[in-house]
Amino acid sequence: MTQIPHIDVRNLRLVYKTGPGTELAAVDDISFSIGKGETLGIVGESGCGKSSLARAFLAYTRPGARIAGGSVLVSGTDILSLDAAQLLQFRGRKAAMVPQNPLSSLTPHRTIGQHMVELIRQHNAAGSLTPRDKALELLAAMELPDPAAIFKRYPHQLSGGQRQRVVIAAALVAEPELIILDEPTTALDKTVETQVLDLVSRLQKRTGTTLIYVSHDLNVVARMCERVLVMQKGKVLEDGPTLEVFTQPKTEYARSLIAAIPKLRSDAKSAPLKVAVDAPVLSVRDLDFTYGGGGSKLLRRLFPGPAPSRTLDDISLSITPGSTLGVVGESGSGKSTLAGLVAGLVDGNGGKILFEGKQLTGLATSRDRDLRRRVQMIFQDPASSLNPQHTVEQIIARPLQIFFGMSRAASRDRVVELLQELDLDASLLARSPRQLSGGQQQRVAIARAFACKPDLVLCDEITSALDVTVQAQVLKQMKRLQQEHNTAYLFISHDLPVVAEMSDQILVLEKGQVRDYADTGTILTNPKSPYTRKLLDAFSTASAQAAQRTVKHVS
Amino acid sequence: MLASIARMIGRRLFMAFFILSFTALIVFLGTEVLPGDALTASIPAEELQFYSPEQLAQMRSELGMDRSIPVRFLEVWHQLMTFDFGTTIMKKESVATRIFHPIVNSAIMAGLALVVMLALVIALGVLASLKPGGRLDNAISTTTLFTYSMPDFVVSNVFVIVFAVWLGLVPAVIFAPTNAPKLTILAAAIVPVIALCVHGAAYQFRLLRAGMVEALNSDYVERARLAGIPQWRISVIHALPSALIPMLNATAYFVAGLLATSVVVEAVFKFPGAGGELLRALSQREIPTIQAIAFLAALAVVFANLIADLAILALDPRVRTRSSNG
Repeated sequence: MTQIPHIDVRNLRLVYKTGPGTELAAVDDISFSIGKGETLGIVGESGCGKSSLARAFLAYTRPGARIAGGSVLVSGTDILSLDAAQLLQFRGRKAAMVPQNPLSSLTPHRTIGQHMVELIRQHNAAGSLTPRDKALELLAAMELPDPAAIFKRYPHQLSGGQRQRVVIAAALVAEPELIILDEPTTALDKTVETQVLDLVSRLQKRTGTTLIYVSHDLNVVARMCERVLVMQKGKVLEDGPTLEVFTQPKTEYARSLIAAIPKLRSDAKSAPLKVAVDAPVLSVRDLDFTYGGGGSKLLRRLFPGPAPSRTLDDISLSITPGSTLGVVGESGSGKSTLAGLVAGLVDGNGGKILFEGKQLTGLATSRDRDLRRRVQMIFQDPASSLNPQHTVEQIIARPLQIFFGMSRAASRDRVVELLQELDLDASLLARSPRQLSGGQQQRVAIARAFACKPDLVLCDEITSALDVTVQAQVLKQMKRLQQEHNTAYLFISHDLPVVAEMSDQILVLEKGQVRDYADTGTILTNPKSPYTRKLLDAFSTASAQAAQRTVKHVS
Repeated sequence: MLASIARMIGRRLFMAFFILSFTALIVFLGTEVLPGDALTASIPAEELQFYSPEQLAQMRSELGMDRSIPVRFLEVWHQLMTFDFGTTIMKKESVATRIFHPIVNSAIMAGLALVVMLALVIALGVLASLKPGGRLDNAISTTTLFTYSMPDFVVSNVFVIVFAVWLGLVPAVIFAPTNAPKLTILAAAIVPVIALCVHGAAYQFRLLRAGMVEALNSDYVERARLAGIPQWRISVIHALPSALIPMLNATAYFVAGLLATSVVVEAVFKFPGAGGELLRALSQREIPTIQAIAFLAALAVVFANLIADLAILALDPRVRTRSSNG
């Protein structure tokens, strides 16, 4: 290792302005170096400064932040001292970023083709090809089906996995020597994640690119990276080979981070007896749902669109009071539609939904007040499901006032109680959702649902946006609430270990059809369908590969 | 997608029909039903004494004014909807001929104002957003706040004093007749157009600047920056189309406002447009003319809104798919 390191970070300090004259260090005097072709993982909870650090590799800080000291040398040049024209030559050409949220990171009014061609022209990357052909080649290399069709589409017309591949393709345009992936798979299903990661590691092997993975998903880092940096509050706590950090963490923080990773346990609880005894709180029989299936037949004949595809096909299930039914499936499997139908957000067009044996009518607006109270839903993204103009107190007090006719004073006490049940401080009462962390927001959403004293709570990917440690806390609180209030959960997630941890029974959905439906133990040890086995494999290989990689490192 | 756009236009035209019918009703009620009928208002007071009540009744029945209100409304409605504006009450001139040149002149002025305003606003909005809070942004933002708070008649009079009286660049008032060659009208319109824009552009600018600042803070602009796309492309190609959307609805309002403000501006500059014609018709209670101008103004507003909606559809592909779903 006599050659100069590819990247050399020296005493880097990056601060955010928090008020007049006050600053907070997001990156606090960090030094390390990365060799050419190395894969480095940077892990830590959100807010630890890892994304700020990632952007510093491209000499970029967000508005409000500035680099307060130190240097970042890439192949020996300090990129922090480049001028604007030199930066245009550096960014995208020598180093590229794969951004965290591929949907919001693609310009909504530009087609995928326009995105790609713009970059190819900018970096003169077409070679002997036309920019269009070069773009198609890159999209094809990402194993996107029908690149020519993708080329013409707008970002919102692609699936999450497709968008992720497009932003990776966009980063590869000029064949940069350094690629930074900021939470590259957060938005993806497990099986798609596996494909995308495989793709990236094959590319890396072929081109010898230096890769930096920034992620809170330790499974991903364990799988992809030779070396890992653990960050907390702007400092590097640990820096070492992945195996060492994962098996012998030196700090308490790293230990807690690793312990919080949800794992598939085959000793999962088997179905409790009450499943057979109690009358179900919710039962669904032969539920069908087709998008675009509603509306006037005449209109459809006059304006024939694409043939409506069946989103849910003959679904039957039941949940007993106080128990949890987990629903697993990839995006597009119909699991959110199922929750939407039970919640009355969409109107069904076939089959029956029974709540305590009584038929639930279509939309929530046509249900009576008591039913609306007793069935609650918690959404994936609390930032968009909580009214940003209301305070935490108003958000939680609203159902109390509507359903229980509480006065403002009475509701306030109850709100404080609910906050305490979720380990939230009463000082948050006057905050608006935007002033809370993601975990706090989701707990406020949970408190709002439980303010209604529901009998059934529909949880749609409620922890997908959270850090592992926060996720573990929220899941623990959900379990406690369930025991205290005897509430039934319909728990939807693409994350099998999380579902297995929460559920008494699991229903596996694929393309709107039930592939497996049994108690958790059976699903984990003896699934009927090949699809469920594939899903189990995808999750167990993630941890197995982490172990394998560590073995490889030792030898 | 084309089918969904066609359906949207169809819906809007259907709605426009009701809006225009309602406009016709309001104009009809305002001009014909309220006390002081059209006939007595059309005849100068000193002449009125020479007519006997029998003569007046005779004239009313000739003009069809003795029929019931609903029948008369239906007639007016039918005429307006078929663009047959009838004749003036006393001189029996064709209203369409009378208002043709003033309307065209006003349309030239309004069209020019719109083009100048949009060009100015887009240029300033993009420039100001390059460095929010920078010196240029502060200068433009402060100036527009100032001009936004200035009423049109003040701006117009200040312009007359500055351009005509002090600098002598243009005549203080426009002497071009209504039927002057349109190029003369265009030249005459320049100063009034600037006066019209001063107020309207300020508001549009503020909306565009806010939209630009938001767009420039988005994830997609950050991605473009990190990918080495130059600033001008980021501003014009990535941020501007999103930033225009909130502004465009206000632009449609600007067009509606032009009709009102141009009455004032035309009066100050003596511009031979529809505003002057409307004032004249109002003072002489020339009801068919008032109805025709009011109706055409409403038509222009409906049309401007439709154009704004189509522009939004062109700028945001997500709206296109949304409108095809619902």
